[in-house]
Amino acid sequence: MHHLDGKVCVVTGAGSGIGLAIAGELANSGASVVVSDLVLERAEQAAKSIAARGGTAVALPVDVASRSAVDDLFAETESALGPVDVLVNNAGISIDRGVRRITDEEWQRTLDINLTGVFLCAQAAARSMVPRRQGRIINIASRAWLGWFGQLAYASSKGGVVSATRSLAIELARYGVTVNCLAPGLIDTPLLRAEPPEVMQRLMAAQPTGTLGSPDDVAWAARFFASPASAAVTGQVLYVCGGKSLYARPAR
Amino acid sequence: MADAVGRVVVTPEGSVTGAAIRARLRAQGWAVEAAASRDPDALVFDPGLLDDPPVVPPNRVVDEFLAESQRHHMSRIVVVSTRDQLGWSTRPELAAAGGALVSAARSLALRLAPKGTTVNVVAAFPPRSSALRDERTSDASAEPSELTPEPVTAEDVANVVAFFLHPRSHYITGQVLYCCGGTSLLSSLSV
Ligand SMILES: NC(=O)c1ccc[n+]([C@@H]2O[C@H](COP(=O)([O-])OP(=O)(O)OC[C@H]3O[C@@H](n4cnc5c(N)ncnc54)[C@H](O)[C@@H]3O)[C@@H](O)[C@H]2O)c1
Repeated sequence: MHHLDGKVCVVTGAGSGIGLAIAGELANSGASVVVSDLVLERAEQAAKSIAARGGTAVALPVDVASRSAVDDLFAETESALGPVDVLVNNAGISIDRGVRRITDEEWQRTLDINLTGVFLCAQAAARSMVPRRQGRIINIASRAWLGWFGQLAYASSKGGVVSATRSLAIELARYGVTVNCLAPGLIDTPLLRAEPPEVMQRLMAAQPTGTLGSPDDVAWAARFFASPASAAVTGQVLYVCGGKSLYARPAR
Repeated sequence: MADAVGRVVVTPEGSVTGAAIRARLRAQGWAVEAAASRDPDALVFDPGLLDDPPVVPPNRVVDEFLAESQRHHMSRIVVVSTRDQLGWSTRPELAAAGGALVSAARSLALRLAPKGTTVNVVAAFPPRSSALRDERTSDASAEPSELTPEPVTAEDVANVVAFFLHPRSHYITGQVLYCCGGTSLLSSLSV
């Protein structure tokens, strides 16, 4: 199901967590994957483990908030593997800071990486996809775009990602390029495991399934959106959140 | 990758998407069974809201859905509904049935989540060969057709159904995924 043989995929922030799982999933489906991350060693490690499983992966550095770094990423992708067929905008940071405490720098950095990063990468990808009349762009937003305590900057940036997804989808549909968005809920990454037990307990209690998702669950959905099977699906937000988007019991 | 294998009931018969859904699921290794099947692993409820007339009368759609879905414990429930639940000038009953199905599916998703059952909805644009497409092209006030280069097909709808039914989709529940070539995007109800 959902083979991607010969497709060139770029995954940003692929050195860790969800991006790492997506890069592995796409490589397992037969795609050639550019594993890009701000931290090059992480990307190299990820590319090595994909290659060890018989997959094709190239590690490239990128700061998605930088125009020149993003342009370099797509130029180097093209010379290493060919033009990009699938872009996964996954790189992102989150900051937990209430409205009275968040600084200008924190707000701006969050928007620069989470939202401007999506714009810069999508623009570079669209310029390459439109002339070829094909392509897939998958943006990783978050269930938290609906709003949450301490998430003013993060939720605003992810709300921007949802909105960007819809505008990109409307504009690019006629060229055979689909643009969709995944909105993960609680996903078991090292970040989450670092939370104190009582916080974890509250988070789990607010979870209809009573379970955590795994990066692989998000990767599976990304693979569907990357594949020809989803050709008629565009501009959509798919929550991978164990039903948490149905309600959210305030946890503090 | 080893594909999913289990027993699935696709009901009722006779919708424009039914044959493609059954074929797609069989190709993936599912045993597709008749509605009378006693203990299936999964249910696809496809009341034909993409058909003219609908297979199940609009005012009966929710009752039938609840009856089918509560007959037995299943790990996956998928509903085939219509993009027109967002509103459509000439067919308010059809739109309302679709909207009611979504509300029922979300409620059931909440109830069944602790038991490991996912409940999701595919909201499709009437696919190629649906009689509802002809009606739209003759009605200037109707919604636009797809933004994508190709019309939505029954196979497209079947692909989304198969995605939701897959064991790896276990963390996705209570969701509505539009399979509509972009025709949901100008509606505020679609996010
Ligand atoms: N983990 C969750 O529960 C969760 C939930 C919802 C959404 N998300 C989203 O999923 C995405 C991945 O999250 P994760 O949990 O895997 O995070 P993570 O911190 O494990 O991984 C993020 C990766 O992005 C890289 N990165 C950071 N800034 C970058 C930049 N400017 N340019 C390029 N790479 C950069 C980091 O080096 C890191 O390797 C993020 O967009 C996040 O907002 C995560």
